[in-house]
Amino acid sequence: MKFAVFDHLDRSGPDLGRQYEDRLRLIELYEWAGFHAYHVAEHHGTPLGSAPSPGLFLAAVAQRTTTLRLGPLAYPLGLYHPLRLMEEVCMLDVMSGGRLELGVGRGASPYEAEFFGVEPSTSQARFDEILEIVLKGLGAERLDHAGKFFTFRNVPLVMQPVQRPHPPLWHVTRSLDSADRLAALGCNIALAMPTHDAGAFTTRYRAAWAALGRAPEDMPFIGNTRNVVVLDSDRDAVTAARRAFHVWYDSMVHLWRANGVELPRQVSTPDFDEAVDQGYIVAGSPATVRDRMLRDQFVSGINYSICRFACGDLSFEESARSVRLFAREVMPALVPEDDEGPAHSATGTLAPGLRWLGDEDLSEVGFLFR
Amino acid sequence: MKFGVFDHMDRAGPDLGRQFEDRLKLIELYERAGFHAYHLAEHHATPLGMAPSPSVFLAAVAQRTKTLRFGPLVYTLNLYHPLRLIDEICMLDQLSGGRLELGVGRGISPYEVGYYGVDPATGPERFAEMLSVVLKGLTEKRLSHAGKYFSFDDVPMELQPVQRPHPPLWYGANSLESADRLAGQGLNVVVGMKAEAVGAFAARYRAAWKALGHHEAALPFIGLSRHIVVGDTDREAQSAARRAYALWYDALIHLWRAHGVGLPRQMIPAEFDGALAGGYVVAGSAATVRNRLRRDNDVAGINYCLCRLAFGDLSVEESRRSVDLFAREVMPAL
Repeated sequence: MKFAVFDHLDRSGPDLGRQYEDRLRLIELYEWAGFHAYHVAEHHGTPLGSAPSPGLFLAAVAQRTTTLRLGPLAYPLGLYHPLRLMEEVCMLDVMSGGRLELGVGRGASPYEAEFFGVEPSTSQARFDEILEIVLKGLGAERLDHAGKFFTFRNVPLVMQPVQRPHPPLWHVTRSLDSADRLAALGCNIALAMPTHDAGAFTTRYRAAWAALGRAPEDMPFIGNTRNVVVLDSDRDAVTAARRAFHVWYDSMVHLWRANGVELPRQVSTPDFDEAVDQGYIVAGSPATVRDRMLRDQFVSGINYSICRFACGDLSFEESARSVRLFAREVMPALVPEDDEGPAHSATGTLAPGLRWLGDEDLSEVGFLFR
Repeated sequence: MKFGVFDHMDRAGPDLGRQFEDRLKLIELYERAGFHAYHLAEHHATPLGMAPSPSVFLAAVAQRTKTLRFGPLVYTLNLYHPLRLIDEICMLDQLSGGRLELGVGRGISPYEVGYYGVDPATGPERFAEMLSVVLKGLTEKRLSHAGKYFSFDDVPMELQPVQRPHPPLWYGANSLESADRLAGQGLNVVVGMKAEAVGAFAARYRAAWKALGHHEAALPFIGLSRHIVVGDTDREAQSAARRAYALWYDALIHLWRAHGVGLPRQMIPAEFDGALAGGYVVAGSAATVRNRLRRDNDVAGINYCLCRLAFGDLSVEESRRSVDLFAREVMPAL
């Protein structure tokens, strides 16, 4: 079991520079607490995504961390020129010493694609062609391609990624039916599903994986995303989570509402309590969160736990408190005894930016420095 | 007189990760040495530019520095989607607390533009439209535009830059005649000519600036860029400069040579000795560099002295030494 963070970087207030800096400090804390990776979304023209160019934000993340893996989740491929995307991927992988996790997607929102002048009906074909080009080009020295949207003749590719043939691929899905196809592709999966549906997905994915004759220990990561708020009492945590959920949901629904429709209900319910029931939100004291996540982990059959500690108007202090309680009191209990791997141990490297924690805070989570 | 650094980020050797880290350390030194800004080029598919996405590298620069200003010189506008470029500009300005210097150009290499599928013949027209869309997007809450290359209908601009109405603009000037227009637009310029020709350009720019009723004190930057190597002796500095210049020049003409042609205008001598004599490269002891720059800066009439302190295979130690000596013994005298 590994733990990771997903972040919309949805707008939390008027001062964006401060939000970026607070988020970078939080990301230092993720590394320090032993999270495996930080995944950031890409959105355009909406308060849902203040990192419309996730590559830029990740270049900053790479400077603030040394071992944490990082990546977009996901690049909407149709909104990129494939050469620029390859160049960006190579630069990020090189500048991070091979820590890039490469999430790719079609782009979930038809409105955002339209801003870019991309006809939504072409999005699947565009995605397929750009992914083909990018996978062909990464690691190669020249690019040739003749397709529907792009043509390249003998273009020199002067940069290569550190990770060969390419950084690990991630795909986001909400569809049970995609399990067989994604298992065949063998890419890592980030689900955004109610716990029970995630369980159905992983069962089907594992069956497809086995049917392909592949070993269970070679399984890619399959994670499910939850908003997680851990505070000292259930009451505090639920109050903060409820407050932040509504701000975050407003950002989620923003462009849909601006176009006179509500968010498709399978994307997210507007109702906090329903979202809690479905497992989209886990909020409470450490004991409550631990019990709920242990149960959900069993039901959903995931091997990768994706948490969202910062969303809506959660303050930096609330998120940092959540992360520290989670690392100290929740994470260790979620790793099965026979689980191999470093999921519950910290890296032992203290990022320079973590000095703000102070001695008292360090002692509180000092066990992480084994 | 302010001092800036210009960097092609041409390939220095096989280990690119090391080059990036070495360069970031050097940039920290630029900040300590009192440089005003770090300017990074954008090139594609050539060893001349290993930062094909200058924004990605500059986002790292923003983390490694606190006061140094920085920016692309230039973004090749025609190779971007305007919305993405607006997003990148806003993010960099926000990530750095308003330290972005915004260089814009159309991309002068027909090969690089061609790889991106852009017809070089459309360059100037496309550039003009792109720039107007980008400036509109940076300054307005919603973007509407109906043009030849792009149409936008009421697209929300969620991000704004810190610097209003937008970060300072920079432009690379290559002709004397452009001085009037650039002064009219109030753009900072880096002039790609010899010191004497820059002198004529700067005089014309200043005259146009004055004729517009602007105050001398508000004159934008007029800059001239040179390769600079400072060492303990002329011999040591010029030997390192000669070695590195050859590699840099190879990178400069790489794509042209690959297509069987020379550079369109032989403005920069291929031979080191010619480049040194012409002042394209200024290399030597602190005294030599000081004297040459003092003379050339005077002739050129510039108020921005742009230095290229890392190029070719100059080692990080050689560049550090250059920067140290330059800051201590050259800058104060200029």
